[in-house]
Amino acid sequence: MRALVLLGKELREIRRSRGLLLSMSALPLSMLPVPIVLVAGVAHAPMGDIHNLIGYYFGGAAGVSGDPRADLIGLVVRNCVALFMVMPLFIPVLIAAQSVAGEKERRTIEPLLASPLAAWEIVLGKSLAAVVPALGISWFAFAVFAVGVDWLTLPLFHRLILPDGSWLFGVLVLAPLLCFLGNTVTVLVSSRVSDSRLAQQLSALIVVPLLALIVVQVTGLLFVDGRVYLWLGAAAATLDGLLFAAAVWLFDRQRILSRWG
Amino acid sequence: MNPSPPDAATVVSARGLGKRYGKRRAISGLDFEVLEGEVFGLLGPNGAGKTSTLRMLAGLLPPDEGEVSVCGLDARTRSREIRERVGLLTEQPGLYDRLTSLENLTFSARLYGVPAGEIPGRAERLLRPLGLWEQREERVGTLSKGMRQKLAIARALLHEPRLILLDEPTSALDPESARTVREAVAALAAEGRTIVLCTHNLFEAERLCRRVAIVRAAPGEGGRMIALTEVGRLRRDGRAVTVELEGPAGPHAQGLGAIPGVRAAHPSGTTIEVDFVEGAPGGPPVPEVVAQLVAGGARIRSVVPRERPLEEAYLSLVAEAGAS
Repeated sequence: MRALVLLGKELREIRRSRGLLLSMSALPLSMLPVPIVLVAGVAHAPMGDIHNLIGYYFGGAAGVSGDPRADLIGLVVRNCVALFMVMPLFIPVLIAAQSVAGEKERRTIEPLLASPLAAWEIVLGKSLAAVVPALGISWFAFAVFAVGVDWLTLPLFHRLILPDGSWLFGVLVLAPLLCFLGNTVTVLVSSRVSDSRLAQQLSALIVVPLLALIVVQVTGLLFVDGRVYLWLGAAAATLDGLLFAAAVWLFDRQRILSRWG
Repeated sequence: MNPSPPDAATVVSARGLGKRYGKRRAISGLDFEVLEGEVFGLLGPNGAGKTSTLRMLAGLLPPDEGEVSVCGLDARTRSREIRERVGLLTEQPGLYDRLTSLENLTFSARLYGVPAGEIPGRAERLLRPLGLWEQREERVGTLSKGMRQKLAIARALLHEPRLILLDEPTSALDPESARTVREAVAALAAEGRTIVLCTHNLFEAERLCRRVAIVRAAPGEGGRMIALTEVGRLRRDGRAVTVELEGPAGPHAQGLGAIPGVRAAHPSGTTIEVDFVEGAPGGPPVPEVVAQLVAGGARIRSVVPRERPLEEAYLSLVAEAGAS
């Protein structure tokens, strides 16, 4: 399948691009300490502070399980899972912005367009090239997050609190869907503009709705439970399908060539 | 340059071919055919629509006017199949700098469906004559411009296309690199490959092409074809002949200037250069010149139309088209 040939080439190029590898790892490296530090803070916080926070989030000092510290750690973990969803959404933006617009800048697009590849094969190959490494990095970060949290909380609860249902759903369902969403938006934008930085800046706006959801959750205005995750997953899957079809439909060889010059 | 055999198949057929980008017309009214084994030149200044034409032939852009078939396939409806059969050398080599020469070739070959087992052998057969085999494991980013262009030629040939399209293969190259690339193209021509060469380099066209189409950009109208001819015919301007005699030419040249349509006759040794008046009614009076020489007792060895450099012929054509 020709799209896989394109995927292989893209992955080889990514492996050899230090700048891209660095920017791809910057987000996980800066986010990984967040849950670890927060969970460590809650694990060692005085009970008075715990009660205050539980009162703020749950409306009662006892929380929901009768163990305020466990409830608060659960809340922190849930918020951090949502926060970590920024990674699968944003990392593909970094990679995919380089795909079509990057090829235009490097003047490699014309031989690619002149090949027998169909538009859907180019979009699929470019998409997989952004999704595969982004998902790999995100899963690695999620795994470190889970191990770190378990390592900190095992002495308190004498059991592993991760993986749990929402973590598994987030990692196995939401992360791939968001990865594909971030990528498809970027491939779409990237094929319509001539500058990879502009493609990156415009596509990065895709994280805004997710950040808004995280802010709403962290401030306690909305309790993001499994049902919200399911809705989020359904919305991402629908958008993935629609945007992929749009990206293929809007992938116009003439427009790409004439815009590029 | 190989002449095409008389029964050669038509590889490209364009009728009234044209391309627009929105309201802007890039080229229009192109009529030409390219035969199997022929090197066909598309000459013209920058902005005359040569690259747009090549892209239509490559199945990259759909034509907006007229018809074009490439390898017997309609470019409007079967562009993907055309892309499989055509090798395109773009003006910029368009190679991936982070990949090695061999990786670039392998990637392209696999896109064109070349069986994996055949790729190394084909790559070696192409890279060795181009002097690039030793650099096969080097990243393209480290190669010189000339090497990159030769590698891009190898890439365009790897899937053994029926038609090779070359877009300004030597532009932006230093003279030495341009020469090596030109030699590579000449070698392809000598192999009897069907090539469309798009260039504004007349020396290149003169050396490589059998026939040329000359396009010229008119302000606000895009490019138009102003001539379609054999290079040799284009160079023979019909405004002068060289007559070679047996014996001294001087005594025979004297009366030639009196023939209507003859501007001047210059003897030199055994030859006479006869210049004709441009646009003389009935064309250059070659028969009258020959008749007078014979009547004067001259023994004629040959009468050869004088050839001018392609550059001169091209500039004269472009100037005539501009004046009309």
